[in-house]
Order: sequence, then structure tokens, then C-alpha cells
Amino acid sequence: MDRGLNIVNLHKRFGDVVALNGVSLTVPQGALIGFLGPNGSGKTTTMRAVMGMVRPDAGSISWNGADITEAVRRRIGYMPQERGLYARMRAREQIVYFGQLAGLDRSEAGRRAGQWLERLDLGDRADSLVQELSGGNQQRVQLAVSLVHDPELLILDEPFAGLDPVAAETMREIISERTQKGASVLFSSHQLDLVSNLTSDAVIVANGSVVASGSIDELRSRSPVRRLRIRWKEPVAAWTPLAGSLSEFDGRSATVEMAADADAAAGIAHALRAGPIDDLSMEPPELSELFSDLVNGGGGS
Amino acid sequence: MIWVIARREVVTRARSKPFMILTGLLFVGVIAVAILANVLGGDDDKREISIGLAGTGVDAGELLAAGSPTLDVEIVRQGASVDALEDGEIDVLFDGSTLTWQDFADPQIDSFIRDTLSAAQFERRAGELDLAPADIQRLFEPVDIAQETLAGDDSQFGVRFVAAGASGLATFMLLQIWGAFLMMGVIEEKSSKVVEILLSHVRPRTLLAGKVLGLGLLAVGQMLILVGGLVVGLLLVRDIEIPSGVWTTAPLSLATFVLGFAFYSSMFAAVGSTVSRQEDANSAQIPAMLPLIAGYMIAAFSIENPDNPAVVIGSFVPFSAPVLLPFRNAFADLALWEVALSLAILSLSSVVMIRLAGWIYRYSLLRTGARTTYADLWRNRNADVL
Repeated sequence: MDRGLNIVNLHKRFGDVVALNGVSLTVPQGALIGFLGPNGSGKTTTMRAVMGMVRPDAGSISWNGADITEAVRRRIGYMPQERGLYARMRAREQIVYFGQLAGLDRSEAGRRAGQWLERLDLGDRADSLVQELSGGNQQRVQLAVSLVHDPELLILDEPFAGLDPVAAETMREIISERTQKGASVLFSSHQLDLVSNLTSDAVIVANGSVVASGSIDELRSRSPVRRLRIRWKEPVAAWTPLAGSLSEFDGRSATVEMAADADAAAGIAHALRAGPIDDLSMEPPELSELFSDLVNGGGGS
Repeated sequence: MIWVIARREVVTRARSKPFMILTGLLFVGVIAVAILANVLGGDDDKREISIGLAGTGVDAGELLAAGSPTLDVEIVRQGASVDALEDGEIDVLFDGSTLTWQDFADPQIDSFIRDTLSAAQFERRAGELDLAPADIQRLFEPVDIAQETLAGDDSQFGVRFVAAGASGLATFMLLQIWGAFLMMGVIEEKSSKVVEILLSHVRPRTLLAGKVLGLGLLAVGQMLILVGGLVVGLLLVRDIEIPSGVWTTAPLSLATFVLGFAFYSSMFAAVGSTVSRQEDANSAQIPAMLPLIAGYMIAAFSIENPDNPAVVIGSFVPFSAPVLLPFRNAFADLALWEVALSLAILSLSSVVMIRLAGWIYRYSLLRTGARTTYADLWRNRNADVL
């Protein structure tokens, strides 16, 4: 039991600013959790608390049921939002150095640095100074630095920020590969489409509190709103839904916002009376819509 | 871990431009010292002069040709003329009664000729007066006057004076230069944002201690190679006598330098931790520079009076001890307990300073952009930043 990262009821104030107001979340072993929230919602502070950069005023953080000591922390792969490398160090040296700081011996760090450089297509730039590399290549070195010690837990703060599509794809592949090998991954993002592609589990924070968490499908189905989309075979005359409100209507198709517990069958029957139906769907809102509802409304579920 | 960090500092610093420039400057300095030593030490070579003797009745030639302990004399008779003097072939023209110089009288040659000829005259007149050689000796027996100074046996005062000045100045300059190097390294980490990932692996004080260690090895290594090279070079080129005091002074100076380095570079690390941009480096380093300058000023103003209370007290205060302890020791051999106490205070303060620097480093990490003020640090002195 308790395998994985457990964050319970984290509080942190910076002066008058409440950064965290009771954040709790769990990253089970081998899970890939998207940590979502607008800027200033507490994602970075939570991740920094895990990495020991911020000491929470209250709450607890544990890994596999035990406190995160310095030795444990060294086995975490961390990619801070503020990316940074030594500009005047060669790419390989840099990866070896951080591998050594993570506890690898020099030859092992050297071997793994070589592997990562190959994996990330940086083999021919291994001995270039970091400042001579393009932005995208610097990001790759940064990724290698956080992965060189084969961490069991990855804390990635906005890993997709500033990546070109190719690099983003590499990042996605590597993150999936890590979880398949049993690593737990917590990554933050505000790019929701990327999150839906990559993971089925998310934690959403706003104003320092978790406003929703669980599988994305579950979060969507928990929404009190359903969207009924109807397309008729022939254009119909003006039409009014039986329940809910008509959010879109163009004469041939309609979108109805209705309560999740409304009588869907009656609503569909009502639509059928207007004419034969070509296409019909009833879905909870998309993650992105859900996100803005949750974040703006501040409402929890 | 600390060695991994120190190693990175050594490797990356050794190929950095500022380090190469410093090494070049020190190399030039060492060469200059060597040349200077050669010129000043040149006195044990006899000076070669030529005296032109003109006219008749000059039987002093033989006497003058014997020279003196400091002069090697060549007597020129053939062609001893004003022309030869003008051409610089002879240093002086002597006709038995007048010394003719080209521009002005050379006091060393002048007194050599006068003394030699006077001595010959004494001997001749003494012979005329029937004085026995023993009587002549009694006549010229010098009065026996001993010398002593309040500071004790001060046959080496000159050496001590130079040693005190040089060790104080060298310590002052090297601490300042290396302190600035260390501070730049700290600011580089903060401005390049690499600091956050670093601190996910190591504690700030381990990080800073590693940097101090790495730069310290580099600084001491550089100094030992240069100074060692100078000494070996001088020993090979000429037979210099190493003052006996060096064997006690050198290890003490080295120990003080190493500990002073640890203390001051930690302090530079601490002040460097308050800023995140290279542009702020100059104003940030003032708090670390002032005590160093103060220590140097105390030494500079006390060189006539190296026992005054400011120096004595200052040699135990960690801020000024790196400069004042070797300074004091250069003038008077210090008791072992004094040296031990001062060095113990210095090492303890270095540990405290490293921890303080680590605290500031961690504290100001979260305040990127704006400078961390000391008032802010003081207000939050109890803040727990791990």
C-alpha cells in the first residue's frame, strides 16, 4: 500500500499570499498524472515542495509511505519550470555532472549520458558548449539531465512549454516510456490538448486548492452538464428543446445544453418528432470546457 | 558529493578566460620579481671600471689596479685622454692631482681613488715618522660601537619588512580576485536558473562548500606552482640565500591564506547570493570588500608600528586575520597559541559563513529578479529555508 507519491493537505503562505490552501494529490506507482491549473494556481509551489525547495506550513509529502529525505530526493527526476543549464559546460559533461550529483559514479554517469545523447539525437553535439546549442537542443539536454539517473519519480513542471512539435513528440514518447517502465510521473501543464493525448488522469488546481481530480473521463462524466448534439437528415423549421437550453442551431443541427440527470430519452424523442435524425450524440463537456468552468466558477465536485 | 562539485569548478574554471588572464598576470608578476631580485642582488658582482692615468709621476697605478672588494679596476695608460673619456672608454681621467669626469663625479669611484691614495700617503708619512706598523694599526683602530634595536635582533628587519608588505598585499589581492570569481560563479548559477535543479540534488551549503574547495585548490595550486617555480628558478640561476625565517613564515602564510580563502570566498558567496544578475555584482560585493580593505589599511598604517593594539586584535578577528596574522608574524615570531587561536577562530567562522551563505542562497532563490536586501534577510532571519 502507499506505493507512489502522496501529498496530503499542503498549505503554504508567502507573506499575505496564500499559495497553497490544502492541496492533496496522489501519484500511484507507474501512474502518469497531469497537474492542471492556470498560472498562479499553485502547481509550481506544490512541485517545489516535493523537491524541498519550499517548506510547506502544513501538510505532508511522502514517497512509498516514507518522508522524502535528501537521499530519496536525489532519485527524483526534476525538471523545473525555470529551465537552466551551465552555459559554458559541454552537453555531455553537464549530463555526467548531474548524474554524479544524483549519486551515480563517474563511469556509469558517462555511459548513461552517452545513451541519452544518442536517444535524443544529440550524439554529434555531445562536446558542444550548451550555449552553442539551439533552444530545442538545450531542452533535450535538460531532459537528459532530469532522466540520467533513471528516476522512479518524475516531477516535470511545464515540460511541454517552449517545445517545438518535434521535441514535444519526443517528450511525449519518453514520458510514456518511463511510465511503462514503472516510473511515476507528475507533470504540470496549461496546454490541455497535450494532456488529454498523453494521460487519462488529471488533478486540477485553482487558487491553491484542488478543484477536481480523477480520470479525465470520470471528471467529464461527473459534470452536471451534458451536450446533446443532433443533426437532422433534412433541414427543420425553428425548434425548441424539451429541456435545457439551445446553445447552437443552424436549421439542420442543434446543440442542447442540458442537465446530466434530465430525461435524455424524452429529449431525443422530442427531436425525432421534428424529423428523421442523421447523427446524434450526448456527451459531457470536453476537458478544456470543464477546466474553464472549474477554474472560473471555482466550483468543486 | 562535495568533490564532484569541486572537480567541476576546477575543470570549468581552469579553462575560463578570467582564470587564464589571472595566471598570465601572476606569471608576469613572478617574472618581474625575478628580474628585480636579479638587479638588486647584482651587488655581489664586482663593478668593472676603468681609470685613465695621464701625465708622469703617477705611481699610484699599481695601488689602484688592486681594486677593492666591490670594484674591478682596469688601468688605462695608453690613450688616456679627454677623447677616451668622451667616448666612454674610461670612466675617469686622473692626472695625479685632478679627477676629470664626463658629466659628474661618480661617488663610488671618487671615494675609491681618494681612499686608496690616502692610505698610501698614510703609510708613507708614517714611515717618515718612524711609526711601527702596530702603531699605525692603533691609530686607525675603529671605536667599537655595538648596535641594538628595541625589537631585538633585527639583522633581518629589511627582509621582514618586505615579507610583511608582500604577504599582506598578496593575500589582500588574491582574496579579492578569487572572491570575485566565486561570486561570479554563484551569480551565474542564479542568472542561468540552473540553481533550481542543482538544489534538487544537493544542499546549498554543500554546493557552496564544493565551490570554495574547488576554487581554493585552483588558487593554492596556481600560487604554489608560480611561487615554487620562482624559487626554484632563482636557486638555479643564482646562489641566493633563503632567509631562515621563511621556513616558519611560509607554512603559516599558506595556512592563513587557505583558511582566509575559505572564509572570504564563503563571504563573497553569501553576498553574491543576494543578487541574480551580473549587473548587480559590483554593488553586491561591497559588504565583503570593506572588511578586507579595512584589514589591509590597518596593516598599511601600522607598518612602522606593527605591535599596536589594532593589529593585535585584528589578527584574531576573522575579517582581518587573513591579512594581519601573516603581517604580525613577519615582524615578530608569534607564540604558537596565538597562531593556533587565530586560525581556529578563522576556520570556525568559515564554517558559520558557509552555512550563512547557504541559507541566503536558498532564501533568495525564491526571490528571483529583485535583489534580496539585508533588511529583508534580517526580518526573515528565523525563516526556515532548509
